[in-house]
Order: sequence, then structure tokens, then C-alpha cells
Amino acid sequence: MSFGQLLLVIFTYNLLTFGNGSAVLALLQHRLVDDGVLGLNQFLYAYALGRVTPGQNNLYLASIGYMVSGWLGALGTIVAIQLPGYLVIPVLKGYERVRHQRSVQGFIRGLTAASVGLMFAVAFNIGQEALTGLVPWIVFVASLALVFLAKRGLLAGMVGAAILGLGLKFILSI
Amino acid sequence: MAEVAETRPRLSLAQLFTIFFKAGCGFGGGLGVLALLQEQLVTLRRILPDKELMTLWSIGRLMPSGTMTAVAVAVGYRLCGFIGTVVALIAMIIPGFICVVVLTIAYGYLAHGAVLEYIDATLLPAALGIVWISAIRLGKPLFRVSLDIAFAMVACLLLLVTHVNPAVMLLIGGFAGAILLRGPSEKKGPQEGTKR
Repeated sequence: MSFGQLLLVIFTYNLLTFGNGSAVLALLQHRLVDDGVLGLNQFLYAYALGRVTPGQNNLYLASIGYMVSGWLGALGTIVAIQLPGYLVIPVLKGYERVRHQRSVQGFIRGLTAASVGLMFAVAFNIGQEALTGLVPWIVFVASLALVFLAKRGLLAGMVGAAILGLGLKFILSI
Repeated sequence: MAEVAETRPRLSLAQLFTIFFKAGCGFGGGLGVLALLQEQLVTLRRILPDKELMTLWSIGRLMPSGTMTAVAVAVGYRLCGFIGTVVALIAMIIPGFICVVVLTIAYGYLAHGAVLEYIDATLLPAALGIVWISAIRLGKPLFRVSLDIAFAMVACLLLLVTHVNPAVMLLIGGFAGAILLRGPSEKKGPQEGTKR
């Protein structure tokens, strides 16, 4: 697969899939793995990186870009997945013009309320994947305690809890 | 309810870069990033009201590709114009991009080792904590007896039970809100116009 083809595939799939990253994953697996561009292990490794690295989950596409075309592929892929985000500018400008209408206010209220529900649903789903044993549960509770009780910032709370978890994993593995 | 404010707070590009770079250090996917962004923009610096950030996130969910990409573009544009969108995106991407590429280069060493398993068992649960905190903080305005909270609960349950596409669920929530949650009409003042 050439660099241009890679960018076209990533850009098109991202542009066509709304609100569901797993849809992109399925399409990419079909295009890249089934067509022999990447091995399944490489593909799954790249996807796993999206979970264990900071930032948005879709940054795993940079890993795929690197595997296919090196640094150029990684950079090109990142640009390709950011471009559709610029559609939000005309959307917000349009929203500014009509936001005083009662039906639009109702739409935004409903949208926001559903978004809050979505956030809790996503948090619940991540919890099902992440809290698979004693150590993950301790880390989770520690992160909450550090932020709420010790009044640490979110980043400090997260890093502190993760370090505690690493220590526990290390001790338990001895 | 939630609105996108019309005046633009003053913020230097360096400050914008710092805010989004810190947010980009969040683990746990988009919600982890949102949690740190909320802390920076709403709690610590008071640049945006929480309702506005929530509105931008909600609209961002309807955009193709990553939600936080759309949020970064929207916030960057609102605070510093077009150049702000580029600065916000680059700053937010750098931490994750470097980690992803470095770990990809190390594929041969890490693919069959326990390092990723260690990270998965420690960083992900830690990130989950801040994801829950973010959800609670951003959902706080809704935590009262109202139709809004009923909407949120129904959406949450439907998403968990039916696994419907989130964007579809948000659109259903929006259209149902247009019928059932029509807010009081608001007069447009003379000073209000279309922002940049």
C-alpha cells in the first residue's frame, strides 16, 4: 500500500464514521489485515497502544501509519484523522445563528443530557474492561481518593495511583 | 440551557498550548483528555463555563473522526482564532503521538512481553478514576429532579443495553429534546452577533 493510498483510506474511513471508533476499526481490519498489508498481530498491537498511551484512542492510527510508511506515514495519518474535526467550525457558526430558537435550545438540552448519559455509559464500559482484578480496583479507588480526599489534581491523582499499582504488581509478582 | 458564549476570553497561544498539552497527557481515551481539559478550562482558569464545554463536547460527538479533535478545534478557534485550532490540536496530540510512535518502533521487543499488560492493569484503572470524576463534574448541572436527568438516564441505559451507535443516540436525544425540552425563548441583544 502506497503512502497516498494509506492516507486516503484513513481519511475516508474517519470521515464516514460518526461517534463510534470501533466502526473504523472494523473497516480498517478488513482493508489492512484481510488484504495482507499488516499482520493481525501488528494490527492488534497498534490498537492496544491506543489504549495504553495518553490522548485520544484514535492515535493508534499513527502506529498503523508508521508500520506502513514509517515516520511520514505516522505524521500523514495524524493529519488525516484531524482534518474532519474542522467541520465543527461551520457547524458552530450555524448554531450561533439559530441558537435563540426554542426548538434549537431544546435540541441542545436533549443533546447535552444524552451526552451525560453517554459519558456514564462509556465510563461503565471502560470499568468493565479495566477493573479485572484486585490491583486494578485498588488503583481505581486510589485515584478517586487522591483527587477527592487528598485534593490532588487529576493528572497527579492518576499518576500517583498508577505508580501505586505498578508497585503492587511488582510486589505480587515476586 | 447550555450555550456557546459569544465573547472570546483573551488567552495567549503559549497558554493555549500549555492547556492542551496537559490535557493531551490524559489517559483513558477522549474522556480522560476531556477530564483534564475541564480541570484546566473550567475549574482552574475559569475560561469557559462547564455548560459551554459540555455543549462543545456534545456537538463534537456528532462530528466525524475523534470527538476531542472537534472539541480542540472548537475551543482553539473560540479562544485564539484559526491559529488557535492548529496550536490546540498539535499540543493535544504531541504526548500521545510520541508515545505511540516510540512504542511502535519498540514493537519487536514489546509485542510478546508483559509491559503492555502492566500498563493496562495500572494506568487504565487510574484513568478510569478521572473519567468518572469528569463525568460527575460535567453532569453536575443535571443532577436534580428534571426531564434532563431522565433523558440522561434513559440514554445511558439504552447505550448500555442496546449498544446503539452513540451518534445516533445523541441525535435521538436532541430531536426528543427539541420537542420535550424547549427552553424559554431568549431575546437576541444588539451586542450579540455571530462570533468569529
